[in-house]
Amino acid sequence: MTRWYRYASPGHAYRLAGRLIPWCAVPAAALFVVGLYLGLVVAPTDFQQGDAYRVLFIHVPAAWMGMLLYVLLAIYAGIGWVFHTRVSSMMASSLSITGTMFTAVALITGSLWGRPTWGTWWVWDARTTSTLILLFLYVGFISLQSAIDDPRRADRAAAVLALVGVVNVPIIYFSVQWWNTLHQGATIRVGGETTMAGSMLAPLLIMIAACWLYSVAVVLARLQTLIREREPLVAVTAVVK
Amino acid sequence: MGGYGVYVWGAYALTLTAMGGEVALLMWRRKMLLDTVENAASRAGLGERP
Repeated sequence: MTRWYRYASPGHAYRLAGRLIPWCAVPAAALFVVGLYLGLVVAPTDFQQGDAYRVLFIHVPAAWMGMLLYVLLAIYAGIGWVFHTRVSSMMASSLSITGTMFTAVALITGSLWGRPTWGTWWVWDARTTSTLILLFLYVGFISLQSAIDDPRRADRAAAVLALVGVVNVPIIYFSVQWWNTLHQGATIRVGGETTMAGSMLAPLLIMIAACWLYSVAVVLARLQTLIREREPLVAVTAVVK
Repeated sequence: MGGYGVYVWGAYALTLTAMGGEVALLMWRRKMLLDTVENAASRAGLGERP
């Protein structure tokens, strides 16, 4: 148990992040190349949606990352608030930028898929609206942290917003089941049957793995940057050790 | 492959630009902070460039 507490130390976290970044960044780049090749070259044209469905190879991973990163953000922000661990709050800050990027990408690529498929750029249905609220929550988290000068106070205030906002994630996930929406239901079901051909599922899963590894690498690199920013001496001693 | 249309290519171009931009901004920020850390290191008598 005491070994876990070591990673609450910015010095340990800085060194661990430095070791993990290349192990995530290099496979992420390789998986992106393979996923893009399979998705854009190998995967067949869909008989209903034509080639427009290829947007889903990036839209679905982006939407998943937007939700998952918010859950992680809320967990880290909550731990930082309760246990006053500086690294947890810095992890939450680090996650917020990548989460915002992925949520924005999910909304815009969804719009680019909706135009040829639904015939409209945007509909105010449950899935799209709740995802837009997620984007606002991310922006609110970042804005709140930036608006308060004292980092400890900023972390606490943003943690409250993060924990309140996490209720939106299951709403996004189950919105297609709870309400009658224009957005299609889940294509990949955990523990259920997947309604997608193998030749289309493979690039989708590879792109999801690539986005995961990319997120870990970028979030850890940003964590190192935040440690350098907030506690420069800790960063220096972590490197010199 | 070339005929996927503006929506597909636009989606991929936007995504890769967003991810590339995020990485580029992060690298720039890290580079900017190196000077701060170097200054802190010299103040602490460590003097090593991380």
